[in-house]
Amino acid sequence: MDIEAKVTGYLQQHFGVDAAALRPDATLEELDLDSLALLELLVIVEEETGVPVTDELAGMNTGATLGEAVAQIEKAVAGAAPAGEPTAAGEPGAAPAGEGGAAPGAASGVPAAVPAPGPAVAAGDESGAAAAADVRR
Amino acid sequence: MRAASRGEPVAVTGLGLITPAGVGVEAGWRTLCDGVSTASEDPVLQGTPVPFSCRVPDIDAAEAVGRKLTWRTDSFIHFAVAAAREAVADAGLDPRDACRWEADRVGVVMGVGATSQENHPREYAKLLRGQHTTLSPTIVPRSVPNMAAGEIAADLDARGANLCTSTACASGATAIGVARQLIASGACDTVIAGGSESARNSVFTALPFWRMGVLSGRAHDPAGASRPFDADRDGFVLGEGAGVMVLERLGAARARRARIHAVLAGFGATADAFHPVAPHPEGDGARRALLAALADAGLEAGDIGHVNAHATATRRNDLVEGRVLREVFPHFPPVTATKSVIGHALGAAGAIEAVCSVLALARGCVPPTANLDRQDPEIDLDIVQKTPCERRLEAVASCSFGFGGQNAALVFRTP
Repeated sequence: MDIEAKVTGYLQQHFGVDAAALRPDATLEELDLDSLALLELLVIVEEETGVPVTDELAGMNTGATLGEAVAQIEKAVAGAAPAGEPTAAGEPGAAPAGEGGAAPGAASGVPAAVPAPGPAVAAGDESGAAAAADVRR
Repeated sequence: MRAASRGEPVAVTGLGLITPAGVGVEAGWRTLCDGVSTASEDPVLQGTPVPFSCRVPDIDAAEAVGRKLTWRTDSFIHFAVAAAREAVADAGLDPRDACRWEADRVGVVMGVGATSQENHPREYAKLLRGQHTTLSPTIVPRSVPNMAAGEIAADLDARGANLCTSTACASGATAIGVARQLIASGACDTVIAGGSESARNSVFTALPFWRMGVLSGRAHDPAGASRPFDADRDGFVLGEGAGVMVLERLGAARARRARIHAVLAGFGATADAFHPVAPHPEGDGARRALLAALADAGLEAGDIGHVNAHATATRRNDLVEGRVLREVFPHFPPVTATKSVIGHALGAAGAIEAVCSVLALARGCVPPTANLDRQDPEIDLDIVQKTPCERRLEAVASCSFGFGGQNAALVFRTP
């Protein structure tokens, strides 16, 4: 998977960043990404790859350059399961908490089949809170 | 006419409108004057018992307000920001003009009825699968009602009082009334006020209305489904959109030679204190809201030349409202039901209809009510139908009645 192409694609299509601004030495902040946007980016990567990058890269901040961010995401994805592919994609309920597997951008509407509730979802996920800590209120 | 009961009059100097009738005031007004319903099949609601709605024409929201806003916000915020920009431009104001835009004195009050849930089906399905780490961090800021006002403030650099009113289907009218109070109290010099909502854009927000039995079931005939005051009405059709106006003191507006669309002369707010969702059988709260707005405006009922009715097309609302309007306005002013063309935009409806009322007043033209094929014999009103009713107007009223028994009425007059 070409992480750099994926990430720059998301930045343009999802976040509206100008292609011309996408230099490796530009910081995420300079690309108008705040901590909420950074976390959203990691969520998208996690959905796409099935690798729990929102936990692993919780320390990343918007002072990182685009080049550094891409390198860290590549490293996290490469260091995950050898296949590096979504595990249990399309198998609702099969993926353990925190291991992704949802189809990104699945159409909104009635969930086709709502599975039995998975493991408890509310407790102890502080990574998102940490990454979004500087988001106002 | 007597002068306003107290304080300096508040002028309407800018209008913005994003509705199923069109993007922008002029496009919307043309469609409203055609008097044909905009309801049609809705892909979001496909496969449900109510697979139709009134949708804002497919505009590229990212282009209208920018991808940097749209990735993290739901439609009601896109509509709110787009309509606010139009209203501020229409008022001849420019937030970048530091000499004339006194940001600290500019407030925003937006009426929004409920939490938007466009992405909730997808995101909450993740929770039910236990995939909580892939939950989007945008769920809160994209969906909670107050963000309509917050995002307008950030977009237009409006740093004064900023709040959201939530009085169900009266939210937008309440917002405009409260905005006037902020100016009267001296808290603000200018307020961007209106309402915004998109409940049709998710089964999570649309189907609960169906389950309550308040939506029209005419899936075989979407264009004929919204039929306020008609004998064959069977409920409302969900709509969406935003209506926004710029309010400021009349003297200040004149001093800067602004175009003055109208004076916001009166506001009445009441509660039925009766039932969570049914109107009071005699329309007690509705009547008192209208009388309070008239008293606030220092006008007599006979001064009102046109009424924009709440007219949802539920059996009960229209019957009760018809009796109230007949009693409060015995001189048969022309009445129109905007929801016949654009459906019911819930929290936005009162603001959209306020904008339409101002346009009717300023242009001397009342748009017709669609689908009024056979007026309910128990509703004794002069309802405009087929073609617009052109006449000189001095003052108009708009009324909105929400679940919770929350009522708001606005009176506008010529400057």
